[in-house]
Amino acid sequence: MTPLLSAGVVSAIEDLELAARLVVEGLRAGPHRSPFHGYSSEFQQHRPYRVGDDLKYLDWKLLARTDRLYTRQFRETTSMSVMLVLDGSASMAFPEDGVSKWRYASVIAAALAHLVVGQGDAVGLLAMTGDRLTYLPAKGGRPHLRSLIATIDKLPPSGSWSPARGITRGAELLKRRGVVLVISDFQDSEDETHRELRRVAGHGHDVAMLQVVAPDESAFPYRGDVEFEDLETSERRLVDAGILAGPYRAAFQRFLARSRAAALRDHIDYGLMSTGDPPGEALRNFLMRRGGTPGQHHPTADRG
Amino acid sequence: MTWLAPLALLGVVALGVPILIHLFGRRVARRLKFPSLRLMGEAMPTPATRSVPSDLLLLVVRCAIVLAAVLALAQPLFPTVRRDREAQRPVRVILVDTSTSMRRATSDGSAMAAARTLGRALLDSSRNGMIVESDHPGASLAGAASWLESQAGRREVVVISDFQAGALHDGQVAAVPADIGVRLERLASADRMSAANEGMAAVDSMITDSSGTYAAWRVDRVDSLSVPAMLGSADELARVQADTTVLRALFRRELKRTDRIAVVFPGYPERSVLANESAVLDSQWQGNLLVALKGNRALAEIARATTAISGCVLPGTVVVTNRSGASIASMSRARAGMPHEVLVFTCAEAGSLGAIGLIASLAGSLDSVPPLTELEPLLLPDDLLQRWQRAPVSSSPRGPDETSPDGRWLWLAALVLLGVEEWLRRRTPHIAAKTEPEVARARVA
Repeated sequence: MTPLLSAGVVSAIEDLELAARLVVEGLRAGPHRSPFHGYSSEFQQHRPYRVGDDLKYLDWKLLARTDRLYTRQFRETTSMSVMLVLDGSASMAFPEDGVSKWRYASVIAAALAHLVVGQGDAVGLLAMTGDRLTYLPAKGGRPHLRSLIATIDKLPPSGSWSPARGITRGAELLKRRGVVLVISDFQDSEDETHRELRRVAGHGHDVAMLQVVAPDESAFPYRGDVEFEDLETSERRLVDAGILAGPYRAAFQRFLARSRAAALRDHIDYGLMSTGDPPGEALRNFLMRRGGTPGQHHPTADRG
Repeated sequence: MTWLAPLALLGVVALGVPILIHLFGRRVARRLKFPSLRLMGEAMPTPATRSVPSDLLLLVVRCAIVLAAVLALAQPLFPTVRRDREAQRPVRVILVDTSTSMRRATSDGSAMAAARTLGRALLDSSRNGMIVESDHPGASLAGAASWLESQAGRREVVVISDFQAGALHDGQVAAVPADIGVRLERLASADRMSAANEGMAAVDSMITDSSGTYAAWRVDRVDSLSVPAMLGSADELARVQADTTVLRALFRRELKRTDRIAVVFPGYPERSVLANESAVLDSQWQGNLLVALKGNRALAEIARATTAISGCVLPGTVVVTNRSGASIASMSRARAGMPHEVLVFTCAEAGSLGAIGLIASLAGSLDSVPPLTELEPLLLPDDLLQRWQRAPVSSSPRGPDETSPDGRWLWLAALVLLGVEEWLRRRTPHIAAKTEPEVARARVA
């Protein structure tokens, strides 16, 4: 198996397209099935359940409501649309030296785009950098892929994150139900973010949140007097980092737990990615949780 | 309380430094950009202002550090009981006279031994000092005073001597500075001898030299004869009694016994002990007596015909021998503490002609030789010694200052307070006030 390239090595590759291709090649070398397989269909109608129907298409919610068995019927479509919603706020620029969350997210997004286009589906982009929304409609094909990756590569992280603008807008721009992959650190507007994710999932989209964190954010390896400056608000705070370390680490773990719990509650796929891990490994872990084995329907793909 | 370096107290102005730092001190902290400060606020929801009580405590501790250091530099002297008691004990130089007169043996041992014992006792009771032995203690006074001038507190020079005339004079005592005490301890150097013979009337002549003062006495003849003491067995003593009767008849004089010389007969039970403990003759009169006995032709003739008891051992200097060359009598000095000064051992049988001749020769020799060793030396009068003596007074030394032990405690206090300050500084949970973006510094506790 081709060893996965470390985050440092991948990030050092200036060509984002090349970096994404290397990540994908690392993924393809292993036992991996497309996580998006089986989602390229659109619900059409219900029909009464007949013995022999695949139980994965049974509408369990309808059964709970009406006590009757119905099978969902789908209209097969030619391709699936995936919208990558990328958080380009200033907080993603951390750390300033080493692999930043933005660079890591860029590689993940580019690799995902590569995978989607590789399986013949369409991928779009909605990136929020400061007040600017950068949008590319979901399309297939190599030229579009290259254009999308080049667009991501040019974006500088700045400003703050607005869930309503990013998540909801991204879902709206999908012409039909598809997959919305939100890549962010989700540091800001926690409640609003989860509300928007829930709303988008409620509209029938397959929503996944990929939370990107830096090792120093969780480990907080600082000591002595440090004046921290918020990357987004420019607020400054002088602290005794040694004393703050313990409580901060606990607060950060609680924050991650909240993110995970909210995703689970809203039936949203969740993936935690650390910039210290090889991006290929992080992506593989996420995709394997989504894909599972053939025939198994991911519970969060419920179309109720 | 007094201060050895009061000018150092001006350092109290340094107290302004921690106060100024407290009021205006600024510290530059490392600046780091962080994704979000939201979780920091969640982690430590305490008010984002500095802790005023802990700041004040830190200020107080820092001021205390400066104050302790300033006081330590000023070298305080606290009048404790221990210090007063210590200050009462003087520093002493003890001059022990080791001249000839001090070395002569007395019935209690030599005066020098007693002087050394006294010197050690005085040194033990001193705060500091030394013992100097000199055969001219007066000449050593100046050197002793010079050393004492470099010492602090009460100082005293002590002279232990028999203070014979010439041992000390006014000029030597005057060379000792007035704030240094002078103490003169007189010891008796020799027993005061009186003439063994009665009738001693006047000093015939007097000689003073570096070793002492000597007087020649004119001894008047008295109508008695000194015969030595006899040491022997009961049988021997009985026979000797008869001899003395003979002597009385021969010399037609009253016999008076002198214990200064003893004849030891062969049968005396302690003879061997006396022989082992005896020593060589060491004074002039003993030598004169020996010469007189050796030159006594009558004794020599009698001894030639005397038979020596076989196995008889004679210690000391041989006086006479018989025809065969065997020693008949010898002389030696008795050990100190005995009532006799000279022992004449004899191997002649008590009651024999040889024994009678020996006793008669001794009596005759004693008659012509005054049994005096040292005559009373001239001594410095007591009132003169009293005039020279004075008590020590306390004064500061002219030499280098010693460190005040009280200052050391203040340095220790300053060190302890430094540790407290460090602990307080680390303990205070700092979350400073939010600063304006353009301000790059923050006030600290």
